[in-house]
Amino acid sequence: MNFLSAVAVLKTATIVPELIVILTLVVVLIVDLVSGRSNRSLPTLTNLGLTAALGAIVWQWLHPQTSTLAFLGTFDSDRLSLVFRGIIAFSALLTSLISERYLLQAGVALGEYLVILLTATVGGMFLAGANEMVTIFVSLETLSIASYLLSGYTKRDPRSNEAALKYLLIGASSSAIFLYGMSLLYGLSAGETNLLRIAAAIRHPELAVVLAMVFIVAGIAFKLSAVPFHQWTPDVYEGSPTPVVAFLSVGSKAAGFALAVRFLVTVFHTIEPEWHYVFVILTILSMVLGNVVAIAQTSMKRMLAYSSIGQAGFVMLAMIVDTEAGYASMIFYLLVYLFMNMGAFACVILFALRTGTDQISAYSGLYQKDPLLTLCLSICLLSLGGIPPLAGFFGKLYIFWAGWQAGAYGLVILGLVMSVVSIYYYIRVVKQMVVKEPQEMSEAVMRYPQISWVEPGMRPLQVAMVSTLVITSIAGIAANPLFGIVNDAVTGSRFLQASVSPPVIVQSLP
Amino acid sequence: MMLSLVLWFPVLWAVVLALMPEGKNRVRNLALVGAGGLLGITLFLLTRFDPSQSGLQLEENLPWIGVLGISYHLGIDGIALPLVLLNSFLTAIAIYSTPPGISRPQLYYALLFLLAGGVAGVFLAQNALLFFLFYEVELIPLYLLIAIWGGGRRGYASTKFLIFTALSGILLLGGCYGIVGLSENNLPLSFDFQDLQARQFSPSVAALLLIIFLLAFGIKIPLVPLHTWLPDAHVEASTPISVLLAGVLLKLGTYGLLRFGVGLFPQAWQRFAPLLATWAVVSVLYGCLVAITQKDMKKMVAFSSIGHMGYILLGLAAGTPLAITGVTVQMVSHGLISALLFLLVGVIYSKLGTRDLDRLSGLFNPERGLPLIGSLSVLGAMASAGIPGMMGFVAEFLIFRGSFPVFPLQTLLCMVGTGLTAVYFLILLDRAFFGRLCQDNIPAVTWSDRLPAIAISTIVVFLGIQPQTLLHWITATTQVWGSH
Repeated sequence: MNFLSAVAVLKTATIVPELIVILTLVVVLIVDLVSGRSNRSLPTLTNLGLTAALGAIVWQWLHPQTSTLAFLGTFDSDRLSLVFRGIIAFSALLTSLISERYLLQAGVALGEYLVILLTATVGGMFLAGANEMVTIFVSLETLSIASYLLSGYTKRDPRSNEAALKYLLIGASSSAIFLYGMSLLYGLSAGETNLLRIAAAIRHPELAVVLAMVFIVAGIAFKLSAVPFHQWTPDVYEGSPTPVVAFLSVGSKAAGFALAVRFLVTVFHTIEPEWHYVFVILTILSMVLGNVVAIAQTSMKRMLAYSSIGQAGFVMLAMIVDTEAGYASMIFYLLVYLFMNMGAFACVILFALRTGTDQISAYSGLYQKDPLLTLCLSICLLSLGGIPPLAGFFGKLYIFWAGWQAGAYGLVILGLVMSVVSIYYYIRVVKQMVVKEPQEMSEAVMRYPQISWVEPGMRPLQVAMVSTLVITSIAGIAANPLFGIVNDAVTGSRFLQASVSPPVIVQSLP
Repeated sequence: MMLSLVLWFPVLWAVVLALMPEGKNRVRNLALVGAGGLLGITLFLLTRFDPSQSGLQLEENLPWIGVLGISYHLGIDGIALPLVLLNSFLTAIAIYSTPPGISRPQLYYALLFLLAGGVAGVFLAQNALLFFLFYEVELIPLYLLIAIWGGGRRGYASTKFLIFTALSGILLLGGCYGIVGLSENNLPLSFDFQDLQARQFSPSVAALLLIIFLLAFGIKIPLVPLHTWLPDAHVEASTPISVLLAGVLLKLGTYGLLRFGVGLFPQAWQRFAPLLATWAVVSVLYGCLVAITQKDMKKMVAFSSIGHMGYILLGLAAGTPLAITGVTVQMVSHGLISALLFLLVGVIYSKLGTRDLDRLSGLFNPERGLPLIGSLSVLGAMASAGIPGMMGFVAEFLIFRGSFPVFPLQTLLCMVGTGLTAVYFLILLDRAFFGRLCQDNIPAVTWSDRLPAIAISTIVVFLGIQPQTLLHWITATTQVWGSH
């Protein structure tokens, strides 16, 4: 088989976005090596590469293939995976934008960081489309190991080291559990690794399948940081470099959700009630614990860590209702979550760069010194809390409506109550920034430096902040195109269509 | 277009104000211009409104987010019209009566305009989710207005307000979802009020949903025992915010109860009516009795609000055309009278530094006291107690006249409430205005202090003598609503 026919058979064109990221990665590595430490073009290269990858994803979206399975069935490039890959690539792009200044100020090298970030992105993107267990495991490990490295990247900071070690130990054991679950499946299906074939082979639910499901859910729940597999989250979020946390809370989580949807829905179709049951418990615990514990936090990063656990709870709620609207609302929420959470992290980074602290009390009276930062952080947090007319409000509205339509009344009511709790702790930060009088200003804000955007790496941070601010503000009001995208993603995904319980009445306007 | 203008003009103006550079008087003047513009637009709306029609007018219906059933559907009828007008008028009053030297004027005035836009949106929305959206939009501006420019315990009061209102919001959303999700007939997804009216429910589901809405709006109105946020919020809020809070924001609750309760569950509403009328009596008497014991003038006026909002529930429960007319007039009348009283209390507080009835006395002193403010207070108290010749009388008379045939006992008990209103306001007037003057060197009251109060008093008296001017806009609509 010559090269060209191999390309045609494997349908390599489906992974053009990933190839672009890999190419960028190699170029960044080489340029870094050749031109030495002082090269300033690396972030630009990374951003260009990720933008090109996003462009390729858009192109693929606009030119849908009839058959989406590639690489002999190991990789599915359906619209669902395209959306998830888009979210992951976008989160990597935003992360790269907000990282530059942070890393320069921390005095660590940019080149390796960007390479590892791109590696994590490639891992996440492959994970979003992987349809075969070996591919899944390899991409999952690519993502995970790159994440461990990223979280320990500021190596002179003991907290960063602690975070990396904790993350590594817990991550490795959860990978082991996940692998154990997959090995059970491998045995049960008489040696199949393709998800579709496994699903066909384990038609008769037995205890071992349920066991495998529990192990696999445990492995995935670690990535989603769903309670009770969340213990690593606050410590890792607090210790890791903040841009990394931003990536972990959005990109890595989106990859986890992509994996969860594809794996669980495809393979465990026969034991759907069981895995739903497990996920209902995870959802309830995540929503309650994440939101309630967030109230007590004094560090902004820890607060956002717990809030991201709570937010993941809302997304899981959308996932387990198992209707077309449910999956659509899940993707919609992840899309808006990408922007509002990234925006919040961009602001936290900027604040930490200018003051050197991330205590919530240090934000007192910030409006006087930095109105733009105050506005941006307020909007992003209020959107996370679900205040109209911001994007998060519509995301929550959609999730709860999907849940309600599917009859998950209890979960929806719990979600509503928890969203009130979340408003409380988000507004606490807004209150610190906006309400406090000049005389109540914190030390950090008192010593706030003159606002300037001229230092190297500040412009990209500004671009990230303003663009997330704008998108968070208007994505809800002008949500129709987004709704169209998520709807296409769900209807364009064959395995979801097969799963969505047929008798569900999907109501729509005439 | 007209209605969108009423809704978006304040929002646009808020953005303009927020972007203004420093310079205190410039921002204030611009805010006043905006308030005038808003009032002008609303008055122009009157000319486009046909009072002889009973249905929705000047409708705007654009599709928005189909999958969620939200459409941008605005409309106005004879019940919403006076409230929209009230909102614009009181926003102007609030802006005018704000002290010129207020700190952070850009943010303050911008939030006031956002609030005005959000409230107008609630009154105009003809889609339940759009209604909910605007209902939630007003949450954050009002929270910040209390939390930043409030009194000593503003942090506590604003957080309490936030939590109560957010709970009211999720109840409302849950109720909206309930209407569509639990109805028996399967209609295309839409949260438009007119489509929701076509939905049918089993009696138990209807009762459940009605209870949810009663709780949601009961917090906002507020009805005893869901009222505890109100006295705190009022005492801590600055005068202009109190004016808006009592004047228009409480009306969101009663207006919502009318749209969602009476409008969507007519049968269940009728079954609940006796209970609701009794609840109204409890609210009225509780509000009045607690008001009698208050030492803080502002708290007294705040509790009087609880009593007066109780009459509205009585009228809604009775549901006769006359009672609904009374309810609409009472919403406007309470909006104006409580705004007047809060303004006067605000003037007294700013001049004497206290609102404590034990420490105030003799303010009627013609030489060194506040005689004009005192006279206006007497007028406000009379209007609030429903003395004939004032607007309060018209409203309460209409409600009682409309409710008496349906609930004679409850109506009589509510009438006791008007007597009690006279009692506590007489206590207030007696303590604060008669006797020896409590302190010397009271700063002079300026005309800018008096002007808003005089403007409101004039309207209160005029509409008391000439209620037809207002009723003429309302009656066509209330005839239809009352015959449900």
